[in-house]
Amino acid sequence: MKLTTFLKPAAALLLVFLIGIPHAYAQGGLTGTVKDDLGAPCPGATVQVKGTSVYAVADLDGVFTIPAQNDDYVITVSFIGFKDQEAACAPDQQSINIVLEPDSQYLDEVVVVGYGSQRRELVTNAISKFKPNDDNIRQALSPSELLQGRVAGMTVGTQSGNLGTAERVSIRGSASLKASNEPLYVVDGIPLNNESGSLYSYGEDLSSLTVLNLSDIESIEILKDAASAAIYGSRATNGVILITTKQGREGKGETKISYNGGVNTFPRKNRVKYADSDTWVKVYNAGVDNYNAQMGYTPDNPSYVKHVMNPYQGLPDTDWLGLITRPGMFHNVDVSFAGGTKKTKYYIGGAFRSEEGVIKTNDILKANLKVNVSSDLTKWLSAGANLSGNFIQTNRVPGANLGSTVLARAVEQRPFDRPYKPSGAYYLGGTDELTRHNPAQLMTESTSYVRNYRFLGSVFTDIHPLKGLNLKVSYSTDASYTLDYIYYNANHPYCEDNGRIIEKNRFFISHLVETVASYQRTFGDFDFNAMAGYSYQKTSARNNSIDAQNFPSPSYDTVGTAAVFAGATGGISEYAITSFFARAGVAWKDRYVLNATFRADGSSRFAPKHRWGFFPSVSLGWNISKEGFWDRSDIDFKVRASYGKTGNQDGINNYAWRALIGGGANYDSVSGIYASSNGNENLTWETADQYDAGFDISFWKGRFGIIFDAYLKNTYNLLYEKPTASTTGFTSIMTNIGTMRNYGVELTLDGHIDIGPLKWDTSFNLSHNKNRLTSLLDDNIISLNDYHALQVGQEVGAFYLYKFDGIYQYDGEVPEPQYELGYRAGDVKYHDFDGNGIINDKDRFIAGSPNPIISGGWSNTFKIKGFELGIFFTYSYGNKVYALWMAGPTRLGNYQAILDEWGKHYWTGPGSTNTYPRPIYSYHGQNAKSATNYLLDGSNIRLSSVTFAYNFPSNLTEKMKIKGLRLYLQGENLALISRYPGWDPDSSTSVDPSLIGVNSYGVPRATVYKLGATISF
Amino acid sequence: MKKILYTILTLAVVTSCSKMLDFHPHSAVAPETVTEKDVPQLRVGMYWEVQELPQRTSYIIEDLLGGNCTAKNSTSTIALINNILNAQSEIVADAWQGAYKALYQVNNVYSIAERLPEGDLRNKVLGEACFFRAYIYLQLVTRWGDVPLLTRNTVDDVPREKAEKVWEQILRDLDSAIALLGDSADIYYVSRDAATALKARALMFLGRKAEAAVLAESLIAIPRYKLDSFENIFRNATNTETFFAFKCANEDKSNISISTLFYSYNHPNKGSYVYMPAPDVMTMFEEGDLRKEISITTLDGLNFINKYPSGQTGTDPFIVTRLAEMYLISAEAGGVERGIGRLNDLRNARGLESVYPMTEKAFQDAVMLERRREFVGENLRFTDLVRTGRAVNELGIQEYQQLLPIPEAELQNNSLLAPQNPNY
Repeated sequence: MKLTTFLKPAAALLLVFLIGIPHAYAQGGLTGTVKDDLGAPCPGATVQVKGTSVYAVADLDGVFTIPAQNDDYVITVSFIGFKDQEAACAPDQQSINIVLEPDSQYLDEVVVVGYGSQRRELVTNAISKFKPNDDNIRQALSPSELLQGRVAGMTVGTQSGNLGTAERVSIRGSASLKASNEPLYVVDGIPLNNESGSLYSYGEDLSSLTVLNLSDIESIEILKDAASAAIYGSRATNGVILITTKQGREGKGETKISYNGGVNTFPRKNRVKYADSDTWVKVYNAGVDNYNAQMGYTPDNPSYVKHVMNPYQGLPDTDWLGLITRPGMFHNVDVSFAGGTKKTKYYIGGAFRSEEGVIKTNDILKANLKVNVSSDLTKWLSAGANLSGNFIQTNRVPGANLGSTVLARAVEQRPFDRPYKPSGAYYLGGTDELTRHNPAQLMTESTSYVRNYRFLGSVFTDIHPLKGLNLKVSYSTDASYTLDYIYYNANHPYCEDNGRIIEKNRFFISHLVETVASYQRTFGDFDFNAMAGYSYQKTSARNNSIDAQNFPSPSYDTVGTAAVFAGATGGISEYAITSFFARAGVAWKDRYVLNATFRADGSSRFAPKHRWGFFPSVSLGWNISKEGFWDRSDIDFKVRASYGKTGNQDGINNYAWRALIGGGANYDSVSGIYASSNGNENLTWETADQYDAGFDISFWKGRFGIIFDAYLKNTYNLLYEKPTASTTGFTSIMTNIGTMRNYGVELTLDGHIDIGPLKWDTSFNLSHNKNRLTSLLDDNIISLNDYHALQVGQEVGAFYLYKFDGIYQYDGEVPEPQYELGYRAGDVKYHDFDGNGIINDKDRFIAGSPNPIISGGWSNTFKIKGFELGIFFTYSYGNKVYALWMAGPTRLGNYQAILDEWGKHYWTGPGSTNTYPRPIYSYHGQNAKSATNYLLDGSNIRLSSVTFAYNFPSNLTEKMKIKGLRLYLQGENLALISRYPGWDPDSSTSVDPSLIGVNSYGVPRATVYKLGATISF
Repeated sequence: MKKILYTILTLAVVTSCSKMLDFHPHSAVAPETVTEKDVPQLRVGMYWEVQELPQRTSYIIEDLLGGNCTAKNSTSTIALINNILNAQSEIVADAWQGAYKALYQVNNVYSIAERLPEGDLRNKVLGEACFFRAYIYLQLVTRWGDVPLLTRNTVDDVPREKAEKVWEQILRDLDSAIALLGDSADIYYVSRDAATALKARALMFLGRKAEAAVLAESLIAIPRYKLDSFENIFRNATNTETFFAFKCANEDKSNISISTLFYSYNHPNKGSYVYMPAPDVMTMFEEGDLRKEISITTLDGLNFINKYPSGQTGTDPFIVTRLAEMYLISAEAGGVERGIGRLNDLRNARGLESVYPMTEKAFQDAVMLERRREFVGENLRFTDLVRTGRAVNELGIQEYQQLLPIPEAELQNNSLLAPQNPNY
């Protein structure tokens, strides 16, 4: 097809749109009314003459008028919550009555719940639903990334903006102390293994969910309260995310092809400004002078330090950030075929993606195949299968926690240094010529990729022997193979003698056998449903790794060609859960709804006597608007309340309960054994009690809706790596100790507003969560690292820091013990809480929280005649960020790059500044302690995405013999409004909830520009 | 139809059998299955654990605190010392926790080996366990003073014991080791001679110099041991000086990679270059000193400690005791009159002329300088200075800094450890 064939009409339409809608029509014409199935008028319904731009909007009485037309014509009537309706009209026709049929999608919206589904009206829990579609899909890799800012009560954070980086998803706060605070992911009934997607922590981890294909997803249900999640029992404390993939529908087959491509760019490079060479040299030499003077070193002393000069005086500084970043191109292609007959339905999907990150060597390649098929074999028997094969390769760059991390090693260089010698060879890091690792060398001379192959499959058969009774038996598997490969060739600083390969393999497989019987009947005004089931899931992992060194040349890149094998590991790990579960629900006239669930889980991770946990829940709903006394048919109102108990056993070792004598303690090449664990026979389930109350209300027939929930979640028997005195032989023991409380509110506002022909869909969500550790060992502070501590009464993740009290202005102010340690006027004054003159651990205090007071998102879609504009914001308010990255470039007189602001305003004498300390050579840590001057406000509003799309009208697509065509332009992460001076307040070096909010040099989330097209026929 | 239902129900019941939740851990076994017959493997594990658990910085902490090193890009030793000497220091925590975690393994092996029938195996394993216990407590008591004393494992909190009691235990263990042990297969296993050498060192701390000298001389008298070249000691596995060294072998997956802390990436040995020799270490060797080249080196203006050459993730053996120390113990104990011979024996072997200091002070200064030259990078310096009362002056530290702080985490987890060592 020639491009011009569809560009012409498109241009014409665009023109019409731009110059406005012509209003001058002939008198007379068609007058009609629009009413719903109950006879109520539908104000705001739009009536359009098909194939033209002529339209009208129904008034408060549902009355509209269309100008007279010359030929026979068809009108299309649309109204939110109702099916579009067409009616043929003659040119001389003067009146018409339209009765709209309710759209079952709205009325009978079906919500997927654990082991089944429910009509929205019968849902008594806090369940959020997200349907990925053309309007809201982003350049995301994992399903959780898609949900960022979309769901009240859910926050999604990442370690960095590198492709495929590890994520932290929290639903209603952190309910556990152990690292694993992630919700349980269930894809088409298969609880996923969510171990890290990478095997070697390369300064950051990878998410294991990026391998999934997002375009296969039909809907994502987020089970937030215990009553909805408790059916998943012991794995549900942190919420459950149910992902349902697309199924075929009865009817003509549909083929859909979509492509988009674009560019990832490093966002807002100039947000952080480093000092230029002139400033740097001045500050450094001032630091040297201060040092020599303070230490009493004269030029004849071997310890005397000399000044430095810019060896490239007059030449421009190196653009270190430019050296490592690029605009990264990407392409996504999705193809799907869906269709079916009355008996057999199929969905076949395929996707391919190639993407470059903003750091030059960061890429991914991803391919997915999917087949869902189901068929009714006889009247009482049907069978089907959901199968998907997935592959992703991630070419990694070292993250912020590794010595070879690329971003930090670039921007930390002295501004005048060069990456390459005149000969083209690298300057080597850690020398006087280049003070940090050479980032060009780090990137070029190493190869690092992780390949994940993952098969998700289930086969099932449904038997319905009696009316209302259904028996489903299924077998499912989640099998994945991961290869993690790193090659430091002979030119890399980490190359050992002549190159080093660390190759790790993991095969992971989980088998799930499940039998579920369900029964559903209506007895008069009673709706009754019940379900009972049994499942057994066994997961085993087999790992091995090899550390091979010394290769003939960098061209040899397999472990087989190594001369030295410096290490090899291998292990097997298994665990299983056996479960019985049931649910019963009853509703009277859809007014009063009662649901109850029960689950019993037995886990191999605990000693036999502590193996079983029981997790009940009950919930109630009252559809007030169904009551006889309710006379506002345009308002739907439901109140809900629920209680449930859930458990958690994640984040603990498969054999944590047992005392063990471990192997591998070899000496002199003889095998040895040792006491590897004390074990804890009393280890048992961590449990949480959660209460939830909320209401759903919608006005004007669903045009405006409010969903509100308040909850309280108490966690008991927290699984905690209790620190122990090392005289016990170990520094910690896995224990059930302590309690925690989360409480909060969630609010979602939805609006579907028609302003003339303009349709505005908007959704705003807000969450507030408060976390408090209510008991642990005792009331003492437990310091976790330099930035965080746990204390009863405080939040998990609370910052624990020294307090910055300004700058010592006179030597006389410096307390004696600090003076002895080298503190002088111009150095930082840390608050001495116990007043003993010594700054030590006793002088740290709980300084703030990394968790926001409120956070959420606001999405908007404006539609007019095929044009669409989507604008999506995310925000968080009140979260503090510890800017760890700043500790480097604010050490004035140290050998690294410095921040321009600090280099220009440092302390020069009494009264000069109370913020920026003096430069001092030989950094001895005294001015960059982990203190409140690096604890900054991370509140932000982010323009997360802007989409501009055009859907070709049906008269044009019909001409083109296709069903639909959509073109769009999208930008992501276009603006960040925040006082935080770093690149990205949302990137955290750790995703552990007790250690979050520390921002090091993680690569910030990219700004994305893309162009795409979706065609269906 | 019914048949299918029954089949499914039966399946459900059968599969729920509790055996399905029992798994064998594959890489470990339950302790109750470990018996006397496993002692040979437990013994190997004890060597590995005592070697590995203290982490690599524990093997150079005395050099870091003893003014032999500065941090990279600094010329000041006191800055590094002040940085390490605080209760939050990871280096201090690793040294303390490593010692006690290793002690746990030693005590465990000891209590199982006690059940062995009398015989060579029992003697050997108990002797080695006693040696290691003494080796661990020697580090603890000289660095921290009063410390918890355990000869049997317990999960209870243990208070600190007076240093004298700890010293009694050290000597008791060393005497047992000397009585139980014979010669060893090679330098990577503990022998009677290694125990004797460690006892000589311990006695010096207690000021029982004459007894130490007797032990030192008894070792010097053994014909098998001779002062050897640094090339042989630090570059070759075989030498005639070493009594005992941890093998820290790459093939055992040792993590004691000291080397990387000392070299930079432009040096062929490659490393992350965390510590460099102090300016006065670079100038302390006299002309002609055969030790210099193996002890320190310079490349492109950067200085390196050169005793551990394996490079970035490589590991080198760590020498716990060797003959040269016996010469210097004998010299120090003998004083200017009787000790000068041993001092000059060592100097001559290292390519240096004899010296003849006139006063006791000048002689003791010469011995200490020789100890510094001989053992730079061998983890002896800090407590040498403290033992001889030189630390405050030579290092510029405060009086209280002669004892290390107890790691904050330990104080938190065992309330009986309070109070902290003064001024921390």
